[in-house]
Amino acid sequence: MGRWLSLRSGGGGLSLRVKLLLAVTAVAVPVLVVLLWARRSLEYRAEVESLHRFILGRMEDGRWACEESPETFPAPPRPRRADGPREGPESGGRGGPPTRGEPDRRKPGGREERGPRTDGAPRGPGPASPGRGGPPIDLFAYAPDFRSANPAAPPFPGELKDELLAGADRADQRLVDGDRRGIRVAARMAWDEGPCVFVVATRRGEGPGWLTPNQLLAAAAQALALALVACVAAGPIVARVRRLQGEVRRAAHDGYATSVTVAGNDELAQLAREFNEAGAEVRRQFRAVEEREETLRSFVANTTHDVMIPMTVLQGHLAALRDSEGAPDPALLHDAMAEVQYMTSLLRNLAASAKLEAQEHELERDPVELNPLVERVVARHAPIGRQKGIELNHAVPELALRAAGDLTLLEQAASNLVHNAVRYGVAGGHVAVLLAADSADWSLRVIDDGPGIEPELMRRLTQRAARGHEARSRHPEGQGLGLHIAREVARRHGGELLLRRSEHGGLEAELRGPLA
Amino acid sequence: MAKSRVLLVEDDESLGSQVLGHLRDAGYEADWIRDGSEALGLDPARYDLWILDLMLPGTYGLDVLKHLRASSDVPVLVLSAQDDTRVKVRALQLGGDDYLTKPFWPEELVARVQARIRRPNAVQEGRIQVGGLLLELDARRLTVDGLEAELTRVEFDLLAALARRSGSALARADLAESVLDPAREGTERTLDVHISRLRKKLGPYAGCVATVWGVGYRFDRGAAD
Repeated sequence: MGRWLSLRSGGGGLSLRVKLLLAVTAVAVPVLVVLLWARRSLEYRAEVESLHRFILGRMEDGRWACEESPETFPAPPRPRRADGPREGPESGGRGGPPTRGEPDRRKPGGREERGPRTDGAPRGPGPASPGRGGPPIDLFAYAPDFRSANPAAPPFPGELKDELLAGADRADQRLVDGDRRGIRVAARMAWDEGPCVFVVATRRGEGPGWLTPNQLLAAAAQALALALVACVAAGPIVARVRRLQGEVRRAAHDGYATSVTVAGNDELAQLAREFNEAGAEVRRQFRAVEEREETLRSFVANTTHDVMIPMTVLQGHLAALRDSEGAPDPALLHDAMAEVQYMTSLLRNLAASAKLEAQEHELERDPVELNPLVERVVARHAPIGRQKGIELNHAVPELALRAAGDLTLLEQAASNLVHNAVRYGVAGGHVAVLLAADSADWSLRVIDDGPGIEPELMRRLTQRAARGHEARSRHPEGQGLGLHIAREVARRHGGELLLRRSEHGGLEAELRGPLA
Repeated sequence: MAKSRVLLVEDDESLGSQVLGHLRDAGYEADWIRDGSEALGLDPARYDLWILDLMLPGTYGLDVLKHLRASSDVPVLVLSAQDDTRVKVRALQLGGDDYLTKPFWPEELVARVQARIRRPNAVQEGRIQVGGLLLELDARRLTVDGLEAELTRVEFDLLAALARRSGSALARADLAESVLDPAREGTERTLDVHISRLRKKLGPYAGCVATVWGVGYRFDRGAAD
């Protein structure tokens, strides 16, 4: 039992077996009590039936005797022995007429023998107590006023009287009065006149229908045996639970890399299976977290790298400007500005990328005025375009166009297209930014006459679902991250990014989305 | 013409002094206060435009904006360090006219300021006058250096559309849609023909109708001077 008790569910819990034992006891004891009670009730009913039949049988033949001499009834009508009739009351002390001629079986108080009669009594107690040599039966007759002519008869029992008065043909009661226990049945006869209309039969003693100490003892023994059987039967289950427990502990220890044994198809096997599934889910989430961490690590590393390069270039330019004599070299200035612009764009794109990944499902939906958005984007790139010798033009319609979405993301998407066009344009080149309404869509086109991009690369940039960190290297696909974000932003706003060769030989990028 | 007055509310010393320098270089009369709560006591009407940094010590920039909007509709250009959509959207909802996210180029700032306090076009009672050009919209008449020019309906409408938004480029498609009747004057492709005829009739002011690469046309007031 010590081993059993060791299987605890945490501190202070009961072992499975003890719980089982208690549960079986808790169930078995009431069940046994109920069974005993039911049995006792059935036996009682049968005994009442038996007494009733006994009365009816006795009175069938004994009516005339009773009516003839009610004061001595149930003395035998034709006593076998002459001394019989008057013998009882004096000898019995407890009253009641003598009922039988057989002295050895006659009891005081007008008792009737039950069971087989030797005195010619017409009928036995009936099939309800076949062959049972039970305790003696008292029998008294009463008139309709519930008085008995027999001086030995006790007063008519009150409760039974009430029942009979209420119309019942029969009433019974259990006598629980100390040593005078027994069963009493009162019956109404088929006639309603004379001194023998009601007959009361009483059987004393622990007859059927009583719980004996032995019975209770037996019941307790049964309950105990049941509990022990349950305990033993629980053995294999307890063993399996213990095995599962050990395996679970091992699995938890090694990060749910191993699974537990699934044997069979019962609840325990189901538990093991579900544990394995939960373990797989934990592993999956571990992996996802690790992947995210790895992404973040490489993201930070790459970002640092990407920012350090333009920083270095910028430092060089600034040093050169410091050392230059006279007017600064415009080309140098332009390069320095372009590096700053690149860094700004890169950092904004990284923020946008993080935002896109964080808000995988939910996007902010505010009304976004597109005309000022375009003007902001153009104004942001005008200085660098001017410095580079690129003409940056734009037009917005007179009508204010409005989208619904994330202001920052939409602006960054537009900014990326313009930034690319300016960045990859050449001196003397042009960039045009056109905002227009196209049926239910808004359309932002950025057209340049720069070198454009190879058809193969254009296809890849359009089709590839590049992750941010794959698409962000400066060369040779420096446009990667910006275009990737522009496309992703368009997609998330219910629109698209289209790339095509512009009619001026460069690139035409079009961002579209539904108007609000 | 009196200088426009701009108020800068910015707590950062170096950024503030830089912006102040750019504004003055651009020809504005600019004042600078560093504390948002100080801004609450100012008379908004003294300035033609406010430049408001959202992250101010003492008080939140949006609160200043709210307070300002309770009594005035002076243009407000919001400076935002954070790329936070919520704050920008809130600023626009509270009545901010525009915003500029740091970092920005000085020219960018000046361009946004100019766009906000640009003097209304010289469109007065249906008349647009640029140098010797006089466009009377209601009478549908163009006078070039005192001589009335004979314009077709399309030419007049083109000129009027461009002049109404002088300084801004108009997309060819937009122009064609608003001016050309497809059944009679054709589509976008015929726009250039109409424009070149118009330019001829403008004589010395032909340069006022500028071709904008990739976009369309723009009415340049400067070309008339």
